[in-house]
Amino acid sequence: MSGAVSAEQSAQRGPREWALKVGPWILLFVILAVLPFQFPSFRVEQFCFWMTLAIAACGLNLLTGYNGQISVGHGALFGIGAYTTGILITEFGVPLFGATVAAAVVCFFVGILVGLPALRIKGLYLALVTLAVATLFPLLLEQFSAITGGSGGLQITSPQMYRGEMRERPIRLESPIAGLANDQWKYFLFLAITVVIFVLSRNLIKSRVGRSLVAVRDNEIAAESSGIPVSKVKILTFGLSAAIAGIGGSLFALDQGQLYPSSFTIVLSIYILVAVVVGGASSIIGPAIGAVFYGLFSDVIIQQMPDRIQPARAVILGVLLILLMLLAPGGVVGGVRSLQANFASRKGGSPGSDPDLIM
Amino acid sequence: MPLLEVRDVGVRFGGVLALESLSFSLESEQICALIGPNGAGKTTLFNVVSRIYEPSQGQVRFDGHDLLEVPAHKIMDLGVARTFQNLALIPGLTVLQNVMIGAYGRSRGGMWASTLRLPPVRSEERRVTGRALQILDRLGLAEVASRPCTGLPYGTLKRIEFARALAAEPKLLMLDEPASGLTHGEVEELGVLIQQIRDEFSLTVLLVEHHMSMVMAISQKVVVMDLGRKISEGTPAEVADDPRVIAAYLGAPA
Repeated sequence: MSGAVSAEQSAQRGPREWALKVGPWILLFVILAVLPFQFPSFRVEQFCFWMTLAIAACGLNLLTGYNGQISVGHGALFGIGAYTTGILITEFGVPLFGATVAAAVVCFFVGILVGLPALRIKGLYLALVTLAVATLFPLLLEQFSAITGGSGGLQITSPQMYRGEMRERPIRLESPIAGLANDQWKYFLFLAITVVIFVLSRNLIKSRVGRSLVAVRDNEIAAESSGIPVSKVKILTFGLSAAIAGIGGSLFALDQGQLYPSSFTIVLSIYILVAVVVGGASSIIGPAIGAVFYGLFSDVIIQQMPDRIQPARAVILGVLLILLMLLAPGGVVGGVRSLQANFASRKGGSPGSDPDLIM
Repeated sequence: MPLLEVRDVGVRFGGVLALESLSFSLESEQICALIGPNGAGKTTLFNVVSRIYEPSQGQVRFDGHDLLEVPAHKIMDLGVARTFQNLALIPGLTVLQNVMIGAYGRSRGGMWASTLRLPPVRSEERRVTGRALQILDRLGLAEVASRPCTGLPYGTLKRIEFARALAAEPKLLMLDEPASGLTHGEVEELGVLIQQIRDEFSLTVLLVEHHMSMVMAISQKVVVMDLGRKISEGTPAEVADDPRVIAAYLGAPA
């Protein structure tokens, strides 16, 4: 075939391009691997929380970034994942990560239910439905306090050997490796799960199904005429997105060991959405970057500021968001991409022709 | 038996009658043109056949199936593919990926298998990519395959839609004003291309077109519409001589 720029050709790029493509990833993994040894335990705990947020944002990104359905209810789905995990472990003695799988399944079906209205309404109206879910969820937790513990919280306990007898004790993620502290073990465990989820999402996006998500987002009629079952795609994406958010919530539950309704208000939903937008919707890695940015802001930068400024954190975050949206509407990844495009066109290459560079 | 048979189809939008009991049929491997002044109902008819509009009366049979029983996303399975008058490409995808979207219904790979990137998914992806590249190459679009499908010339975009429709391996290809926005020379080239593609892929082509020279040169059959009704039907020569057609285009003589 003449002149076709094919997948094979892009795999045969020179060693320099290859190094440019793989290098940053190797660097990233080295940094991620040494992080828990360079920071005190409380920071490592925070990193674990950021990862649960990144997972939820990854799920939301599939739905909002790639499929074009806006949800401001993912905090509730995160919460459903967390509470499903807590209740299954405490009440039914389900093994810890077995509960995570169950939470993903439960959230998948809840997501499908929440997504059903999406077949009739879209855009702002769908966002309102998910907003209602986000607002209702903490109220429901307090309403059904018999199983959720209400505002007093849910202590997650499991039967454990203690002083020679089985007792209900708070769950803990204990390191099985001698040289690794519990928080470091938890970090690597969460990191592994996070990486797997992001890689699987990338696989999906780069597949026939991923293309169909984008087609439904950009032009429903064209998608339908090409044989894509638009309704099925929308609903399944909602379910999948919810399941991933649920996994994030489940890890949060395992991490915290206790759950309170106040952790799962509309504010959490907005933070997840912020992570997606700040990182860059419709880029796979964007939500992870966004989650880190959010974490850095709320757990590190704000804490360094004088006490008088602390109460204004929401205002500061808001101003920063507005600035970011003005400077880089595509988020961090979008900003980097347009810089690359600028650079490439200055060198005479075609602008922005390699979306692969940041996945 | 005709491949496509439209019988007594009417479409009403509120009080407006967009199509009024329209009937015509299309034989296999024919090129048939729908012509008529703006607002004649040509695109409306396209939208009925591709199941975007629900007709208020009439029947549409395609290749032994009652098309009106089939949901929009299934007509591609039966072998009907189309392009759109005002372009309906997917800006978030590359040119190649847009063409691969056309092959959606001709390929496999569900959500779970794709997530795990199982070997069958990979080999299917290679097959579909190869096929899409072949089609792009055939239509002279190989150069732009990896470009985002925004910011390309209008004629190129039209051609990409053409490629996407071909990727669906249709029996009936419906082209909605494929020559609009093209230069004079390009229109002539497109006419030749449509004939060649019809022969190579054994297609039946139904097109809406305003470029009379192209319509007259390539179609075996012309259906003339005006104000939602069919006013004439026949070979290009027959239609061109029909006084009703001349009246519709030039205004009725006093």
